[in-house]
Parts: sequence; C-alpha cells; structure tokens
Amino acid sequence: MMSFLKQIKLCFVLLSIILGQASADVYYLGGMFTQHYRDGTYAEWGKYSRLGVNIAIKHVNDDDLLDGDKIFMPDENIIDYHCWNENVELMTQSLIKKNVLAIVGAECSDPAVLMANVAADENVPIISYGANASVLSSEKNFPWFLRVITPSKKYEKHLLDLASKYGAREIAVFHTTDTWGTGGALALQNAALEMNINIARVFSFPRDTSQTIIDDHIKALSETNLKHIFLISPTPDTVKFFKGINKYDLNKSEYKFYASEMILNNTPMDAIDGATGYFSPIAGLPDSEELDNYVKMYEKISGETADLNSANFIYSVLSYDQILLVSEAIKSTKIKNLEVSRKNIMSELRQVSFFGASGKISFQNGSNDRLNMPINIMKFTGKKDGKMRFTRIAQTDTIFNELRLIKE
Amino acid sequence: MNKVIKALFLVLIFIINPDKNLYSEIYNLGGMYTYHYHDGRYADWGDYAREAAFLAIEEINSSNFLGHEHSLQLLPENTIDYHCWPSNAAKMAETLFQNDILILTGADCSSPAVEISKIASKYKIPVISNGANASSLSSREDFPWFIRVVTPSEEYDRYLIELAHSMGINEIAYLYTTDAWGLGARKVIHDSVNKKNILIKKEFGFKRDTNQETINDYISEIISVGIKSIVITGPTPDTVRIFKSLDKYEFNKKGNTIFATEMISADESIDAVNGSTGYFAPMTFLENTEELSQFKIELSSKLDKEIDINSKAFFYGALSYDHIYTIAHAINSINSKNHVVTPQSLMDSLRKVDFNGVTGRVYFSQKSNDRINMPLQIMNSHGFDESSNSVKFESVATVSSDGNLVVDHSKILLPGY
Repeated sequence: MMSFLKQIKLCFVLLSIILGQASADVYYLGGMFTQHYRDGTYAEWGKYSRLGVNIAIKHVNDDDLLDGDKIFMPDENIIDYHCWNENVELMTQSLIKKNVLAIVGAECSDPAVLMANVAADENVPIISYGANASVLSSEKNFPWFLRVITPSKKYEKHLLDLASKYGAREIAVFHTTDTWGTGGALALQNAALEMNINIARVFSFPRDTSQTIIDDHIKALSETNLKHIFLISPTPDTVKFFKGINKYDLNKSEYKFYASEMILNNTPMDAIDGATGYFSPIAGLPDSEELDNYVKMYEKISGETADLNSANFIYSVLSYDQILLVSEAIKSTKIKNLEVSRKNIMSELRQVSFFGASGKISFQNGSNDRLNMPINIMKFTGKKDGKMRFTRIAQTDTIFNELRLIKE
Repeated sequence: MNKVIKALFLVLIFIINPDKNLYSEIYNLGGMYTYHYHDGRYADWGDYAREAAFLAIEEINSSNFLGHEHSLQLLPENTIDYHCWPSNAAKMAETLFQNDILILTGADCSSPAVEISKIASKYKIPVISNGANASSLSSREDFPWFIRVVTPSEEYDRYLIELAHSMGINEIAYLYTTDAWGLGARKVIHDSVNKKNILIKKEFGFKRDTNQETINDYISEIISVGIKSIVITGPTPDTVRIFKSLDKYEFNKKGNTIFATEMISADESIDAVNGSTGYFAPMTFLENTEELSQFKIELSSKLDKEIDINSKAFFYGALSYDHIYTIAHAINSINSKNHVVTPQSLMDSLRKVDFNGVTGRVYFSQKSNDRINMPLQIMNSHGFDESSNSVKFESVATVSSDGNLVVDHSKILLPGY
C-alpha cells in the first residue's frame, strides 16, 4: 500500500508531466529556398539545403533538444523564390503573416537584402546560410538579419591570396552588377590595392546576361595578355562564362581562373570543359564529432554517400546549422524564462555560441556575420562518374586567417 | 573476332529496326505547376494538381499501362513552381524544353500558358494544360503545340450570366483583369449580357495584382451608385482582394448577389470568406463514379489530408490526373501502331485521344485546342465551415446535355442569409 505522502508525490509528478505536455509549444518557421533559378535552371544545391533543414528539424524534435517543444516548417511555408528579386518582398510578407517565428534560407544575396528590409519593418528574424554580400554585414542597416557564413570579401580576398601565390601581378575581373557581384568586386579591388596587384580589365554585366554578350567579353579578354581571371557571379552566369572560355579555347595551362561559385552536376559539357582546373572558395568543414554525426544522419536520410568536398554537401551542412542556431536561440530564451517571441529570439540569436556541423558558430558584435569561419579553396578537376570533382588545394587557418596551400 | 561481329550485328539491328518495342523507353515529362502564387500565398489547388500528376505517373508505371517496357518520368529538376505568373514563364519553359522533355505538363494559369505555348511552338514540343482556360488558347493556328483538358472560359463564364438572368438580375457591375485570360473573359461576359439584355452599369478593368486600395475604391464606387450585383473575372488573388473589399464595405448582405469565375481556396482568409459567402462560381462537373471515389482516396492518402470533393483544389487535382492519363493514352496509341514516339507524333496523337477519365469523357475538338462537351456545374459558397475549418461549396446548378442550366434553388445560399 502506497503511503499518503507517496501518493501526493506521485500526483505531483503526474501533474508536472501533464502540465509539461500541455505547455509544449510548436514553433513554426518559414523558408525561402531556391529550387530553380528564375530561368528554370535546376539549382541542385537548393535540394540539399532543404535536406539539411529536414535533418536538423528531425534531430531537434526527435532528440528533444527543446525539452518537449518542437519546431516545424510545413511545405506550405517553403517558397521557391528562384534566387531572384521579383516579388520577394511580397513572398516574405506572406510568410510573416503565417506567424512564423523566423525565416530561414534566404541564400541569395540580392533577394536577401530585400527580405532583410521587410524583416526589419515587420520585426522578424531572417537567418541565411548562403547570402554573403558584404552589404549584409551591417547590424545597423539590417538589424533582423543574421547569417551562418562570413561575408564574401573574405572569400574574394583568399582567392586573390591564391592568385598571388601563383605569381599574379595583374588580373581581369568579371562580375555581375547585383549587390553581391558589385560588393565582391569592391572587396577584390580593396584587396588588390593592399597586395599591389593591378586590376587591368573589368567586365561587368547584369545577372542573366545573354551568352552572346558574355562571349563578346571573353573575346575581348582573349585579345589581352591577362592570364589570371576572376569571376564573381551567380551560378547561371558562371556557367555562361565557362561556356565562353571553352568557345574561345582559353582553358590552357597559362591561364588561371578564379570564380566565386562552385559549378553543379547539371552543368553542360562545354561549360565543364571551360571550367576544368578553376579555383573556387567555399566554407571549410573542420573535423568534429558534430560533423561525423551529421554525415551519419545525412547518409541515412538521403541514401547517398556524403562527399565532403561537394558544394551540395557543404550547403546542406550550413543549412542544417542555421536551424540549429534557431534551436539554440529558443533554448537560450527558455533558460532565461523569457517568452519565445521574435524579438527575444533575435536578441538570443546574436549571443549564442555553439558547435554546429560546420564548426563553432558565434557572431561578431555589431555585425551580422559569423566569426572565424574557415574557408577552403577548391580546384575543379572535371566530372567523373556523374559527379563534379573538386579537390581542396588551400585552406585558411582560423587563428591567423591566412591561406595555406595544401597541394597542387 | 566473332564476338565483335556479333556485337556489331546487334547494334546494327537496333539502329535500323524501327520497332521501338525492342528496347524500353522512359518518357521524360516537364512540369510547370503552381505551389505558391507569386506573392507567396500557398495555392492548395496547385499542390493538389502536382501531387495528382505524380500519382497518375506512379499508377501508370506500376500498372504497366504503357506496357512492360515503357514508363513516364517527371523529375524534380524538371518540375518548376512558376507561381502562376507570366514573367519568366517562357524562359523556364525553354529551359525544360532544352532538357529533352517529350511534353510539358501543368501550365495551369492562362497568361503564363500563353507565353509557354509560344515558346513551345519554337521548340515544337507539346504543352498540355490542366487548367488554363483563356479563350485565346483555343486557336490551333496561334498555338499549334498546345492542348488542354478543360474547355475555354467562355463555356464557363456565360453560364454565370445565364444564372444571373434566371435570378431576374438586369444590371451589374463588372470587374475584370486585363491579362490574356481576363480580356478573353470580358468578351464572353459582354456577349452574354448583350444576349440577355443585362446592363453593365459600372465596369473596371485592372492589372493582375492591383493593390487593395485601388480595388477598395472600385467597390466603394459600385456601392455608391446602388448596384446590387457584381460579376468578377480575374485570377484567384485578385478575386480574393475584391471579396475582402466586399467584406470591408459590407456588400455581402441580403438583396445583393455576387458571381465570380474563380472558386476561392479552402484556406482563404476569413474576411475574403465573409465577403464572398453566397457567391456563385462555375466549375467542372465531376460525376460520382467509382473511379472518382478511388482517385479521391488515393490522392487523400498521398497528400495526407482530408479532401473535400467540392473544393477547387480537388477539381484541379482530378483534371491534372486526367491530363497525365491523356498523355499515356496518346503514347499507347502511337506504340500500338509501331510508330516512334516523338513530340510531333505525340502532339498528333493527343488530339485524337478519347477515354473516360475521373473527370468524365476526355476528348478534343478537331478544330481547336479544347476539350469538348465537358460537363459543368455552378458552385455556391456556403461560407466558412467550422467543423472542417475551411470554405464550403455546394453544387447548385448543372448544365444539361442540351446546354441549358438546371438550377436547384433549394441549395442556394445568397449573401446575408
């Protein structure tokens, strides 16, 4: 027979459980993710970034990281905005009207600027795993925006470091005239000035410029003696650039190409031929238990073998980490006994510090940028067995932030 | 050496033998479906249409409908959410055509479908639509590579005017969008009111996605001159704005009537639902067959949602299911003649397809791109239903075989009741 005291205790425990269950909250997220570019080109990385989100949400909910609370992002809340500006404000507002706690994705810089402006008007956090335009760094200008990556100026700087190691004294720069392309070109210009490298020619063009115009630029390039060529543009324009390089037969040993985007599996053969041997920067993934765990979950859910050097996999990791960041911020808000509101989450997002699958995630004061993110420089070695093959040839060290060659 | 000769001999047989049954074929489809409108609002009907297309493909393949050797394929990379929006629709379609697809499916919104069909003519690849009903798309001369499993909007819209006439309405205000579809509908409405001696006392044409304030001004003006009946032909988002405005200005009351060419989605915002309660909208009539019931069960399972068979989303799902089966029937017809399945032979064969789908008999006019003799009904909004947390529609009229509207007045719920 149970004592009266024990019965009271048991009732108390049961009550706690019931109350605990009754007060479990569900936090809805909105997603702005690209599946196709605006011209209909399939953005394969978009599929993997959504996979990263699904893995993260499953992990957070199944492993009860939020003490009974859950996060969800229903398919209805995931909009394919085609990595394009048109209607992005309206789309963002539609998600905000659905009472989402935060919006994730926002991987393309120009649209991310528009989303961040709407978010600032409506006081809703926007977290990006890919928009790296320098302009987005300012907390003052974009107080409701945050990203789990570093700005592009660091990427461009390290590409130039690499060119310098290969003896470049003058370069040609191709860039798109969107926020990201212009910001990247400016960062490159500043770095070139510091390193005493001459930018001898600049070719700028709007996103989605026709192949004919790009070809004309390449033809003009071929008539110069410039051998170190930089390209800062989104993937569809990058593909057109390499088609032009192939057309004018510039993919020769005396040339070196440095482009900000890694090309994808569905790239046409003529672009692959033009691109073979080019260099591209991407987030580095330091070895860690968190990364190992992610690889296991990734392989189990996707049924694919993780290729740690592929852009698709790296984007999936960053996308996974953006969800963990939200989860950490919710956890932190709850620990402080604060209401899990958009405002409190935004404040906590800036203060969290944790180890995600892509390494330590924390943020610089007054900035929207992730701190100390390692960067790798990859060399494209061609397409084999249906996959694009990239080899890591240089990496930054997180202490001195210097680029070190691994192998050629 | 003998082995090499044998191998060469086999290769030669494959090259010169026109019998396609010697090897299996995967027919690659492209898809342009709407999952969200361009303003980010979820389009449930587009979701249903896309899932119904995938359901049909799975069934066709698992049942060996095309024979053991052949199958249909709609890859995610070939399925684009074009947001029911014309800008970039042609570019998106072009990218799909360059992916070596046999045919493009979906294309459910009229204005983008016009752009898609133009580029299809350049690439000579068929486009089959499950929902684009702009009158302009009927023309085989203008759109030789387009076909649709729906009838053109004039078949729908004229019955709205006929219903208004049967209710003794003799003057209306008319609101329409100025896109291809809206202008086609305007012509139909004008022809119909002329025949029925109904006066259009006020008329407002506006661009798709005109802002709420402008729409409010139109409605305010309509109310100020005492018009009691409103007819709307515009895409759903614009129709919803008008309904919101009708709610704002309390037009939805006894004595007033509302007719619109689009059914609103089940999860529409409450002010739009309140503004539209009692309105009439035309839709395909779905006969209650065993096939339809089975389709409902399978789609419900695939979507993991309860389905209302009177919802707009379900109609679009059924039409989408049938548009994929139309392709399968056309391919079977080509293969049965031992001809090669090419975009050209498929386009020719599509025009001759005749089968009973879940939406009834599917066959096409030989003079236009339109499905013919498609049964129609008029749906009536009964407003928000708390039990299902969605908008409820009731079928209140059907079109008889001789083309007359048969109205069941007992089922009608008018505004304010």
